[in-house]
Amino acid sequence: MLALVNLLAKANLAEVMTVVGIYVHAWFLVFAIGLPYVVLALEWKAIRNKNGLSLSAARKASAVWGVSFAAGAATGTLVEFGLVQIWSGTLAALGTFFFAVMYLELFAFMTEIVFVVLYIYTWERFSYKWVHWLFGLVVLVGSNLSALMILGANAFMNVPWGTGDLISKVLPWESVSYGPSVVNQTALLSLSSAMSKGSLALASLSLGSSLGQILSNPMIAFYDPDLWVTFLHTVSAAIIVVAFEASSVFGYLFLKAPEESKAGFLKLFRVSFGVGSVVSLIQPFFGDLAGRVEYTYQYTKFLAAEGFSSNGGTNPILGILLKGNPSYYFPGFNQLLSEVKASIDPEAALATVKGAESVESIIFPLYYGMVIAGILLFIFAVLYFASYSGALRRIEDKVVGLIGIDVDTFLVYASFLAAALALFAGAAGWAVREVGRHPWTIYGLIPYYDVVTPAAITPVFVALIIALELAIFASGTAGIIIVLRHELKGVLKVK
Amino acid sequence: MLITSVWIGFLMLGITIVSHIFLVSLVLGLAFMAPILEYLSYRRKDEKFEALAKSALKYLAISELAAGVWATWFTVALAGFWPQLTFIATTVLFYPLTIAITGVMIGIPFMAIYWYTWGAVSRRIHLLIGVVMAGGALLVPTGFNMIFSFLDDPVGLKRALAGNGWAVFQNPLYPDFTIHRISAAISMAAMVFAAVYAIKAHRDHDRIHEWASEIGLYIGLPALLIASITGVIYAFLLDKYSPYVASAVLGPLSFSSVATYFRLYPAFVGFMVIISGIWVSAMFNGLHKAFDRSKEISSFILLAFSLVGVPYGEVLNDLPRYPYMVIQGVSGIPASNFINHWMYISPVFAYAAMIIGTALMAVFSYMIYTVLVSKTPGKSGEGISSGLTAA
Repeated sequence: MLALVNLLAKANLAEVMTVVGIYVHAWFLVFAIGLPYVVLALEWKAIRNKNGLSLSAARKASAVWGVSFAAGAATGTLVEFGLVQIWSGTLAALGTFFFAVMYLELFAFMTEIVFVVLYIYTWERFSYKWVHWLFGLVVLVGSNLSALMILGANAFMNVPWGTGDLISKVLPWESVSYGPSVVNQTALLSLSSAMSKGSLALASLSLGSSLGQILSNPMIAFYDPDLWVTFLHTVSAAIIVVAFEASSVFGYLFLKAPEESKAGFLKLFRVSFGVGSVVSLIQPFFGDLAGRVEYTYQYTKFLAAEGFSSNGGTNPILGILLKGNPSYYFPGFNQLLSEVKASIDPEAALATVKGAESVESIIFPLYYGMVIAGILLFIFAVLYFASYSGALRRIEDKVVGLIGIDVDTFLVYASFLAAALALFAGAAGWAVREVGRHPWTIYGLIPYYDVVTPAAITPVFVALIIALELAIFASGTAGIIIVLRHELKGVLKVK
Repeated sequence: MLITSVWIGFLMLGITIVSHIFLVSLVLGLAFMAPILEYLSYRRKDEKFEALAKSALKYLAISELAAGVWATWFTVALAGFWPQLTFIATTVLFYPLTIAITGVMIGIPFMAIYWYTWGAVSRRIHLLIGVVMAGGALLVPTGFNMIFSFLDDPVGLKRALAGNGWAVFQNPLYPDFTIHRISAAISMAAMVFAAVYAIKAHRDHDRIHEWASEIGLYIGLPALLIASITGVIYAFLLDKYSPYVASAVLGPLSFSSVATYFRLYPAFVGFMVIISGIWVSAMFNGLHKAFDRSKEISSFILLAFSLVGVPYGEVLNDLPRYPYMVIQGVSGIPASNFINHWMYISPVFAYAAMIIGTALMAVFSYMIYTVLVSKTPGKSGEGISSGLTAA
């Protein structure tokens, strides 16, 4: 019991620096994923229309890309080592379920890194302009494939695909199959049992050979339904964040520019706002798919995110969407507690219900905050596309004219809010996804306190690491701002 | 099947380590050179130094990107093929690895900031950014070299597993090996720099290139001297604390006489030839002022041997351990004890890695040529020549 208390205390300390590290990484990562879409859209416009301002904007944005890519790579190393060093018990998963996705991610990362350098260094080097644009397209594909692979590991942590009926044996209310069984359930449970006394069990070399083969199909992570849904949802979120951030920069320039330069900046603004709007219109569908996967495979997280009471209840919209029945009754945590006894590990089942219940007060407001932010972004997107229709634009002009501005200026101001909303939605969504799985690292199989390192994690150590993470966040962000200011110097005079 | 997995796992680890060490040595050396050159520019009010610093930074940026790929690959190979070894390493070497990761986290962002803030902030602040970058780069080998010292002599294993993570710092191989690695890296980068500019000086008859080559030698030769002295000391230390490795590499020169799987003495002689070649060609270039045909040949030798020296040395450092993974005096813990038993990893993964890795290096070399040697238009795409000539 004392050992578990010690493990929990250490894991909780480690969790704080991991959370900060992941968010710092995500801050830079969204640029790596989202910025190629905006930069390529601007360069496309520049090549097609022989537009010098678009070309200049694309080139300057790619400088930001350079800094954020470097900061993303550094913080990626931090997250990678956080996984193998702080949460060293996850090496059991890295040597099995995560291996294929992590290994194949390298090829995507290599492609990305080679072509990002080619892209940044070969501006206006080719007489046939599309060659340079294609370099950027390869970067875009590489960064997205890279995201797909990394999310493959995360998807397995949420929905451990390939374990057949194992999860339902541990968590009886998850009565669905988690894909074909490609694991040796006995060996996996033995590993889980050995690690329940702490990850130090992995230091015993006899554990490796005595368990034998755990996984027979290394590629199983690619079949995880959560992977594809999460990929679409996450990449879309990154594009929305970066597109609206870029819009807010172009919008700011539009507001500050002399009258003769405003038209040019408005065009740039419309390109990036357009990218964000297109994806904001699609994103609700991906969100819906993510919700369905969560309902099907992580019912406790679903209950906590939707804010059901302990006794469960009805929700007409969810009832229609998920069951086609507005009065469908969703069983609550109390019902799940009554099923705990049927588990092969009642303690684990109980911890799952209690864990979800304990985080409900955190993830419910975050979840609905994300939904509301998404709805507002959807509305901005509709207003943006409506402004291209003569009749609708006249209506919009009349409405926003009440506050003394035209539609374009309104959209510019909206872009400032949109950037903040998109950032909030992304951060909140990821919090719901990770916190909602509490206390599991791999849902139903390995709790987070079983994978924390046996090495000492002291409050001083955690404070130092967090200080370092924040310093990187501050210096990387300052770098981006300095670059942005430097690149924008004199840009207001460009016609 | 197990033997195949062990060998492939060992090979994968070896390829990724050697490739990574080759690139990070360039990174470390150039991360030192760039701020030093910028400082000289600041002190002497001579913009030629600044142009040189910018050239060093261009090499640095590209080397770092490729090194990052190999570092990630190395980690995944470790975790995939050797999960329990990685677990033990991350537990026992917790503090050294934390130092190294801290270095990575400082070094990479500051490299980008250093690059992009050139001319955008005051020179003092920019120089400070460069110093932080170099400091970050220095922390990386300071931490990671403990891994290699530990594999040759696992000092502090039990104490670290019991909770005293600092015990590993009592490893007698570590201080000398770390200084050796760092000085070798600085020497390698500076010598490559010196050789490239000497070759260009001969072809372009450009005094600025001649002068740039001399600067490379001023930095490279002292570093080479330190690397050579610590290298000799390292051989003696290996003989004392890791006789299995010493016997495999030093052969008849070793005081120990242990039967080893590999007998690498001929390869060690080859290594001595390479190091001697670097010394001779560097000294010749330093003393022979005329940029004629003989100096061009000497520069090519210097370039080739400087590029080959570090990875060659790394092969000699790692291969002798086989079939053991961790050496304990005259024998060790077999690598097969650490191999991943939980999942069969198809050799296809390893072959694909080797093919794609080779392709990467080809594209990388092309980039080096395109970006740095040939004249590329654009602000950040200026070739070395254009940067220096402008200065």
